[in-house]
Amino acid sequence: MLKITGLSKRYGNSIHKSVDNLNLHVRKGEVFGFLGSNGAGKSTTIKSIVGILPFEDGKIEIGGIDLVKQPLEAKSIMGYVPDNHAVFERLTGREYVNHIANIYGVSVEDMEKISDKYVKLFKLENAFDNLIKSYSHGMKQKIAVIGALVHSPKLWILDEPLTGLDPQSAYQLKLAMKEHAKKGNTVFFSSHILDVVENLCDRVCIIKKGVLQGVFDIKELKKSNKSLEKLFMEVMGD
Amino acid sequence: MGRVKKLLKLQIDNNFSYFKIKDLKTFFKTTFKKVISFAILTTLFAFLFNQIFFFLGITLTPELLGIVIFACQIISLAFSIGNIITFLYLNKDNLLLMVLPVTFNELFFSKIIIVYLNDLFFNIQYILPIMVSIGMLSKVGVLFYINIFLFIFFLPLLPIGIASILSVPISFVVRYFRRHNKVSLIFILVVFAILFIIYMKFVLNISTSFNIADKQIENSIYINSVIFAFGKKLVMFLYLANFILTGTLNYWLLIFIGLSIVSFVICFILIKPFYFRVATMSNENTTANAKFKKFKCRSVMGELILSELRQVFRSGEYIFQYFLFLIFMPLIVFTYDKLLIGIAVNQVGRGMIYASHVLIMMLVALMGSVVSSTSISRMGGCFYIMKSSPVSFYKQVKSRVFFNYILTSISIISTTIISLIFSNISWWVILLSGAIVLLMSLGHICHSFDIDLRSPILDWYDTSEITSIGSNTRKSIGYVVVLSALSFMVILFSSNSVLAGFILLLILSILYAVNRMYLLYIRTKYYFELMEI
Repeated sequence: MLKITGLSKRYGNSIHKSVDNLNLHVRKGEVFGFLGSNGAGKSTTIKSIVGILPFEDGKIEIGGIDLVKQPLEAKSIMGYVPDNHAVFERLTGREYVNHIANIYGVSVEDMEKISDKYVKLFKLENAFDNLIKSYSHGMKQKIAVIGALVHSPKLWILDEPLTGLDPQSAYQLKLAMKEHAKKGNTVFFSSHILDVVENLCDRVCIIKKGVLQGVFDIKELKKSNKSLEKLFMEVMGD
Repeated sequence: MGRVKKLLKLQIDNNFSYFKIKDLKTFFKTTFKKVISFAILTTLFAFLFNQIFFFLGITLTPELLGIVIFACQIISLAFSIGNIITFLYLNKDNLLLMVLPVTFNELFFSKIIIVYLNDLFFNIQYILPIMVSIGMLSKVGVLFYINIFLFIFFLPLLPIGIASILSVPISFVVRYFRRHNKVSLIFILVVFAILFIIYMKFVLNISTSFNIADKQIENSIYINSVIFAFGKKLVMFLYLANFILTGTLNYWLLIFIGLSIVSFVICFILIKPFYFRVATMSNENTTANAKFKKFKCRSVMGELILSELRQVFRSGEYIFQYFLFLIFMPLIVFTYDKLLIGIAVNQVGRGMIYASHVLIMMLVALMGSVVSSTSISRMGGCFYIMKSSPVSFYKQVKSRVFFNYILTSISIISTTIISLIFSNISWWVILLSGAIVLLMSLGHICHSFDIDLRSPILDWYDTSEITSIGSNTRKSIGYVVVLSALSFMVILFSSNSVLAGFILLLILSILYAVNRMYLLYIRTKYYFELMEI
């Protein structure tokens, strides 16, 4: 579903590469965790995948579509929840979701069906028709999640999605991620909460200073009686 | 005091980048730029005042200087109100500073100093050039400049004191308007309509009772007598002006200084209780108070334009930026036409009227398109939506350019129709002016967008809208001045054959519009892809 080959990215005239020769293959139907310490290159990689950042070398394919050659086609099958949770604050929650849905060409029936489901799930019924600028940080994040899911993306990418969410919403979001993958879609997310990643993901990868340290199967890890936390510490060299 | 100092340093570093410069080369470069901009502004004011002084036959007297100081204090008061609301009550740093291990008094004191510094810099940047330019024109001695320089430190105190009293109710009104956009829109329109009616009455009065050729001496005597009478009423400012001009000391001077200091102290006592209350108010709201609307299917272009429209109409700042000039353009152009026709009647005068008609129309129309210079930047952290959408960059740019151009075009066409009906200017001049301004504004919208496209000010974690004037906006305003001045000169210097001048200007405006559209087109994909956030 997501294939990254030799991805390298540096900012401006910096000598240091934020991401260096990254190779990764994320399969259809799996929940994939993207781990690394602060400044390791996680957000840079994610921003490159969703088309926000240009990159010097490498190739990114989304469902077999080359992101550089056919950007619109590749973007149309992705949904993205950024770590800044920025949404148009002068729109209401409904208007924002409607806006995103129209951009992706979603039918009114699907807009209603999907938004109803997640609005109830995240308990946003009372605020959905209010201006987003009156929302709390967590509520904005929930709207960003609904916006990302309204077109049922084949690849759902989330950058630090659990930060700032209340426990109920965090639980619901984790369920939503599992459910999305069960339908044959792919979920790719970054997080620092290793327990959550361990329980949620099929596979994880760890990145350090822009370089991929390895891809690990959670089932294999459990079989070997090793916690993800321990593995992470080993890989990071701490 | 140590903690106040630290708080002050933190806020100065955060708010005034100039004091953060450590590299000597950059420091001198920035200082040089500031000196140059001060000199340019002073020269511009000197040119403007020279025209007004000559035109109205005014001479510098203590009464006139008193009126100027009074007017500057009013301007400073308006700035202070905005300054107190934004820097004191609504500043985002409140939440960060309040959790620091400092007392509330220390925090408040440091904040008030920042408010004073902001006002002081405003006075140095804008009020000082006004004073210096007046001094230059009136050929006053060194004493004038020394006194002005000394007084510039006192000038912000009184406006801050008064502003602190006014800012409390105003900040509540501002908060109310931020929650009620329709009320805010109506209020802005009503205030500007009232101001404009007053202004129009003033201008029309002048245009009917004023004829340079016949009544110059009469008018000059009348205006000077009005200045003298009004200046005498502003006793405190009159003696302040007298001191600045001649060095004569008077107890009114001490009253001014005393009043300034007392009002500043009152400000400290009065607004302190409100500061904590207003600064900690929350906008968060989870109760349903909006109308339920159904989802609707729209074309991508329709959705992009509608979304832009909604966001503009729900922000007082954006309404101001988008509509201020466009709504009042027909009235402004009509008023100036009326005024100029009352003044100039001969062949050269007609050329001046036509050139001024184009100048005013273009200045106002292009100022309405300056808002395009923040098209990308004002998205802030939301820019990712634009870049990760499966919509071509061209379509996204087109929707924004189209939105601004539709608004501008409606205003230009309305102005042209009103001029055709009510103005005494030849119909072909009005039509050609309309066509030229339509083309120039299309070019300028593309140009402004292009400026922002090449160097947007984007911050990933900033979700607030950009409302302040940035370097891109300044550049765009610069082009408004240049394009309007060039157009004015093309018509003015073709007074013998005005039609030829208009045709030349029409060709130039076509070339400008086509060139800017083409440049925006070829740069869009390149810069969009390169843009990093």
